Amino acid sequence: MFDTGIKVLVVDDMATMRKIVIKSLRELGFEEFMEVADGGLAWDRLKESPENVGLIICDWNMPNVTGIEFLKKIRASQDFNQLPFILLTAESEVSQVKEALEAGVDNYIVKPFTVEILKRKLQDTYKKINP
Amino acid sequence: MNRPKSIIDNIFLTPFLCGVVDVFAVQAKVTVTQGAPQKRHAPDLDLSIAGSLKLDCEQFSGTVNMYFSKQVFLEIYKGVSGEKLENIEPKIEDCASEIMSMVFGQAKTVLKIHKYEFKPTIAKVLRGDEIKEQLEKPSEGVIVPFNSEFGPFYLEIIVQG
Ligand SMILES: [Mg+2]
Repeated sequence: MFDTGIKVLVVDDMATMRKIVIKSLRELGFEEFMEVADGGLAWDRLKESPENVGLIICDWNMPNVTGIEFLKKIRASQDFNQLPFILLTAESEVSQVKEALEAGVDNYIVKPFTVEILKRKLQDTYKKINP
Repeated sequence: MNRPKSIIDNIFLTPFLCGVVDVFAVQAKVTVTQGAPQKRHAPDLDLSIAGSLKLDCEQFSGTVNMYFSKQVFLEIYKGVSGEKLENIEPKIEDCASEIMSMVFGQAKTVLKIHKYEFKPTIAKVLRGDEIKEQLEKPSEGVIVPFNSEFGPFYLEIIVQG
């Protein structure tokens, strides 16, 4: 299972989608969140207050710094390269998924999604990280 | 080289229609039924908000829009977020564009099989006069009514060029 005691960084340019993600995470038992609207802001917030952040759920398609750009920045950083990173995408395209896997994403979720799908993706992610 | 003329046939339209049914079922837990596609016209209903997205690829150039009345939109927002509101507040407007982009995402995956390669795009929100303006554009296209337990809403595809 996954640890619901951590803080989740939720990144999406759409406030409604951040709300959906956080609502779904709450249903799974998570209680602490940090939400921002793009990858640049996410990086700033993470550097400012990294305490207890244990998971990033991030949209792909965002203005300014996109999800994949933010992912690459995370994987290249000394402090955060171990953080589990899940990408949210509205496009279930093979080429995109390949690019994300090469960049070091742990999992991806295609929108729309249910709480059950999110739960399964989290279980898969943590199983991969801690086999 | 001239672009081929954009055509809305069943192969092109069906993935959008299936996308609507799917997105509403999964994300909003709302069952919707599709009505018959019609030649583009402004529906006789007060429409408060819309999600709008440019469609651009070699075979097609146009726009896809989804129009909602206030009542239907608030119920859908309640379905996706769990929050019941009396009015369409600015903070919830992007629900319209998010739904539009999810529907497009579903359609895009299917249309890729038929060799449509759409350029990346970000959906936007239309409100008030922007909706009127969009509906009154004289372009060719189709409009498809959908029904939900809260009332109807519409998906429109417009051909440009
Ligand atoms: Mg986005």
